[in-house]
Amino acid sequence: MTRVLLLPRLNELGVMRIIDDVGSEMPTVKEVLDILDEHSSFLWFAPSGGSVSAESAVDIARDIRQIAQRHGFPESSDQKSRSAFDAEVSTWLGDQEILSTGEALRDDVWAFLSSALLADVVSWRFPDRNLERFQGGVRNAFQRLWIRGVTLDLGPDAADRWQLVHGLSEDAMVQIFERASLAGDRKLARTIASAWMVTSGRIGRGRMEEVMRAATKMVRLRNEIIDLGELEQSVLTREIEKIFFRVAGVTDDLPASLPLATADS
Amino acid sequence: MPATDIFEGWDYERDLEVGARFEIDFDRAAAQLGIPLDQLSMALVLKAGTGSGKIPRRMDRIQTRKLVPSAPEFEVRAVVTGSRLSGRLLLEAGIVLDAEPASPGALSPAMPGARLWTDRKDILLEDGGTARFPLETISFASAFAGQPHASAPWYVHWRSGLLDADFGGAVRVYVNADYTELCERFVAGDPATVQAVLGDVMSQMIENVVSMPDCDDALEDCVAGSVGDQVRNWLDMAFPGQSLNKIRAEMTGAPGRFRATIMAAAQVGEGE
Repeated sequence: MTRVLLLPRLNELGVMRIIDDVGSEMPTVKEVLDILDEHSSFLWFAPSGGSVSAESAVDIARDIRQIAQRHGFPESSDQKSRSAFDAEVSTWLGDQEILSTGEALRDDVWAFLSSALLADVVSWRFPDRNLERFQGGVRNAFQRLWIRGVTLDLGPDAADRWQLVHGLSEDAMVQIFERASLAGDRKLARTIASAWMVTSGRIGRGRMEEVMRAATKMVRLRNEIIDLGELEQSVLTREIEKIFFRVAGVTDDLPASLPLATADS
Repeated sequence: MPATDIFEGWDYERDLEVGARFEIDFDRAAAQLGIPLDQLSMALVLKAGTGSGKIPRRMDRIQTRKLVPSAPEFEVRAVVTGSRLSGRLLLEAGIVLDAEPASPGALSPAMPGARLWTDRKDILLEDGGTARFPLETISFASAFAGQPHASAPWYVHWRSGLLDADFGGAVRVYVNADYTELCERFVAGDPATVQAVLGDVMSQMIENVVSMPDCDDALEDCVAGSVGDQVRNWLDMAFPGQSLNKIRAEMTGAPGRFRATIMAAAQVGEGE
């Protein structure tokens, strides 16, 4: 078994302390680490079960910072560059072996990366600097991108491995990934994402926000009665597309969409 | 050994072997489902969930087994990889319809995958994750030095307006460890102390949410495990069967009774 690399963890009070204490809009790493030096009790590692690896967190932060620089950090930021940054970070994080363990599911691990090592990048990506972007959770600046990457990855053998990450709108991502009952089941989440792509191809992206909200509500209801993730992939694809098409008012014959080829299907 | 609510001494290097025993009464199941016995096809699905929040962040199917009348008693076993667990293990065993029956009853489930029965066991691992009510004891003198709430007995950290946020991630109750006696009582689960703290948490959140102009729609759309879902459950506990308008009128017209009603309902939540 590969030994788990234990990453630094920052509790919620530590995040609040940093946000309260930093003086600048875009805090430097040194500024933040100085604050943590004074409040070391906020910072911790899992007590056992792997090898402590603070340098792994530093490596991850370095690579994310380089991606940010390719998209205009720290000088400029517009909607387009921010979307491109999100997509590239998602695919990069989704492909990191070190993040395939239980550590990456922990909110406090992402809180450390976002609040301590990458606070300036978070401030650049989210100029309003909402606390939820620094704290761990589904709205954390990077945790949300990681979960998108690992969930929507179609696998190294797929013809277009990251088509779902690049294809979905931000609203569509939020509708899936802020609902644990959908996001927690990778097969279901990927099928919903795929149905979004197929439907948007029919009716255009402009109407998809309204369609996605109604469709995810219906999928959640259906999932209470039918264990959707248990359906064979082609049946599931058809079920979810039927819901999207009904909501979107697409009345012609359903397309024979091929189930997505995935690494674990 | 039987699964307990908290599994002590676990870490990433420890894979967990899980197992469960089942006994299925096929005749009774067929009768209750309105499906002829010879057409009843069922499967047992064992899932393992992990990650914080009331609904686990990741839910994996670890075993699916077709059920046959010739083996009504059976056991399933599976190994859950320790390195992929995070804070908790939620085991879910479900029985689903495995094939469409030829002549189901009018109200019978008919689609493969239809949920027929489910049972869950939530086990806290390592530091307990955040599957329990999110709280911790901490010295306020140190954590909140110089701040106005530094001498408060407890502090509910949460932000209003985020009804869709996961409850475990958005809310945290800090109990002031500097108040030794209070802290000891709280940790020991003294009913009156827990009721006072929980009642305060419920009051704060209910009052805030009920005051929101569009809370009716917002609460209706909240997913299981979210802040809104928890507030909705508390409203059902404290004000069963009452409309939000009536609850709102009680809050503004009789605030004392309103608060006392919530405090009384907090007694029910001892297990939280």
